[in-house]
Amino acid sequence: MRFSSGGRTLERLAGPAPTSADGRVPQRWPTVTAGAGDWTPLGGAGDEAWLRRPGPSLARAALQQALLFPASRFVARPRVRGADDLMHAPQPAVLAPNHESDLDTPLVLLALPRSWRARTVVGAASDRFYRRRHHALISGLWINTFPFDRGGGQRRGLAAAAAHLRAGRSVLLYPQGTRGSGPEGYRLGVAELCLRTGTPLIPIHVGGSALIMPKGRGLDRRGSTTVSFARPLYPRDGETPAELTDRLRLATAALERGV
Amino acid sequence: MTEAPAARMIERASARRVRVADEREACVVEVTDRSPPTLFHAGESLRLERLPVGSRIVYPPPPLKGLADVEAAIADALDSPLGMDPLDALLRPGMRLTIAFDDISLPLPPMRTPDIRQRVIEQVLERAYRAGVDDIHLIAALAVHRRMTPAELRRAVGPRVFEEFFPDRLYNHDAEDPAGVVRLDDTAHGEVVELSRRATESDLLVYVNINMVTMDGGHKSVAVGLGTYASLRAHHTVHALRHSRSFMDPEASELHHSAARQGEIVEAAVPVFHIETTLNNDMYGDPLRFLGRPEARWTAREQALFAGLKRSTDRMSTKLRRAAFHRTASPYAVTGVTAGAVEPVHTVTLERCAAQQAVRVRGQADVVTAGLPYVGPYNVNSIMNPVLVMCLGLGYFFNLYRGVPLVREGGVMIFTHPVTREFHPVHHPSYIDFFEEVLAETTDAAEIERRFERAYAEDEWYRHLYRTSYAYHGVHPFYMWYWGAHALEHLGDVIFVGGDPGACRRMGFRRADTLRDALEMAEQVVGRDPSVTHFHCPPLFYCEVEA
Repeated sequence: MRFSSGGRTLERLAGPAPTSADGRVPQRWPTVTAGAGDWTPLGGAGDEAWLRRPGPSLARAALQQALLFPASRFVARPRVRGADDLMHAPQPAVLAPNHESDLDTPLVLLALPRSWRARTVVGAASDRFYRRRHHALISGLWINTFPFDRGGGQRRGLAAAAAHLRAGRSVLLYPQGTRGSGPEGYRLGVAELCLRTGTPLIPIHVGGSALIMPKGRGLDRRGSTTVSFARPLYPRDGETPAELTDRLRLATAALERGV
Repeated sequence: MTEAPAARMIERASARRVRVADEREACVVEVTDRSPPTLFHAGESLRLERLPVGSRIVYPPPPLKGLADVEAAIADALDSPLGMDPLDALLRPGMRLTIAFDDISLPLPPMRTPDIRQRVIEQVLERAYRAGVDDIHLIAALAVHRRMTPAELRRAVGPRVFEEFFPDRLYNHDAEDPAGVVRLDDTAHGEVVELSRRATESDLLVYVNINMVTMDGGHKSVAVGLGTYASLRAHHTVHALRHSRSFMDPEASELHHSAARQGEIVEAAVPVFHIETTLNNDMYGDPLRFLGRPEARWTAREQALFAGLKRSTDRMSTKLRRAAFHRTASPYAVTGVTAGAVEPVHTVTLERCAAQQAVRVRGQADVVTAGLPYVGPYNVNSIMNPVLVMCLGLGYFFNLYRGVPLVREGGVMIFTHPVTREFHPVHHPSYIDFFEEVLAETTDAAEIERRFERAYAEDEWYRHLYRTSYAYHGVHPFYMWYWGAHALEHLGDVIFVGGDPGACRRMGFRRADTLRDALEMAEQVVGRDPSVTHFHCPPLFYCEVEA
């Protein structure tokens, strides 16, 4: 019987080796496997809930005020409209901006009143922001994200968002699901979340960010942007997700026209 | 904040039914010339062993993601059960409500608090109070297992429920209490059905289950958990277990057919609202999660961690090591909660179990190797004695298959375990006598059943210890032996690497010092150059084997 002979380092580290060493120590251990490897642990990193505790929250506020917001103001020069009205809106709510650029999240956070910002979590696509633990830590520390599983029909992401709403935190979700999908790209999930949880939906429009940091291009140039907030939309009895999404789309379009 | 009952968003598994095992080919890895050594558990220690080139290693599937919002999933299951009215509609003021729950044998190792039983029971109680139900009892459904200590009960149901109900309304099922047990009608096959009196006389029985293996749950929950020796005797027999192939596959299990017949009698006597929960197999938790993955994928950091772990456990005294291992709790995530009538609920539960645990393996092997871990269902916070080692290896590990066994008929199983001749004097008194008296005479399960079972089961001293101390029932070691009856009949030989010579000989097994010796011994049984498969358990999983 011939026995395998790889992984001598592990054997040496772990204790007495049962076999006699016979020469080469391979550095890599190829094994024959059939099919795709599915050991990516738990589909990447999980939620880093500790980043929402008071200490890390304080650090986040300091980091945002010292670095993130000044930098955003420098490149994007945002003009904020309608944020004062949020003082009268009920919390928690679902914040639903249009999505053109990675800059949208810092701009919306920057425009929010402090009482809202401290209680807002951002849904970040788990397939992009939560692939590695350090990605999760970075996004969690800077913009207070939670992993949002999009697609798959499992609705894990919406369930996680509902849990945050139940815990009294507002949730920032992009109804378009991804950047640059346009007015036709609105998906029904966010509306369904509002209807099922009975939380108001706040349409937000971010204009101009696509020119500064387009999808797939990185930071392109400086420019000016607008961040406009509309009055909250309250889910009506018997409304379907498609109807609420239509109202959201109309409200966002109105914001875009500057009405 | 809106604390409305509407504020729940429930994730549901997709309706698409797929045979998950088919997509799991990556779980079967072949050993090549340059493969690293393989991890074997051996009681409270870890070993690295070399497997022959060309052997297969079957790894557990990676852990599934848990539910994002468990509380909401429980509430949803209670609100929209399968095949029954919502729980709220079944509750009314003045009724007698009994909540039974699985005992300490599940899950393994115990899960980190809050236990899923606590989360479910708290929601059930909340609804019961809202409906004005006062007469509520909580029973640990432990059949002939040992009673749970107050600390263990507190851990399972949570401090809030414990403070309120213990000891008069939260207690262990007593299968030997003549006043606390009633006999229901026999089944059509003449099987006796006895059940806890409180459960029988309730207006509603809620059963909270944890489904770790496909053997559990379904009709077995109530009929066995709240049953007695008389009702267990109907199916815990050598004949039934030899014809349960395997008892991890309820459809092919004589044991389960019999329990289902008893379950129907029970359901006719008292309405039962089943709540079944499934967990993923994330048994090790954070820094040690790599132990469930193929060794070839361990990073340098993980290898160093493993080396540190192995070296430190090797240096610990047995007592310290046992204490350290038994103190670990697993960060299982809940993958599903289903409630309602027994059949539809259990169908969903088994699908969820398969989604986590099933691995497709093509072809049986001449020799199957496996490392036996430190804990089995019957030695939580206790000692794994030789009889329990046999039950874990030949009862559980051998039977973790659907279709045909992983090892061919007449093949050999090789386990790594020290098989120390050590018994817990409080928990396992009847095991000591079973080992010294019964196994010294014979190891043939049928003969043991015929000659010794009755005397142990009806022994007054064991009955006394079971009822008042924390001892397993006198008959329990027999059931452990029967659990392995099918394997004893099927296998050509059983070899324990590093096993205690005396204990192995007493049980009719062989022992070897190293895996190489064991494989050479196995060659004498199954022939030269045997096909070897390593069953890399734990974490728990099962194989769907095609011959």
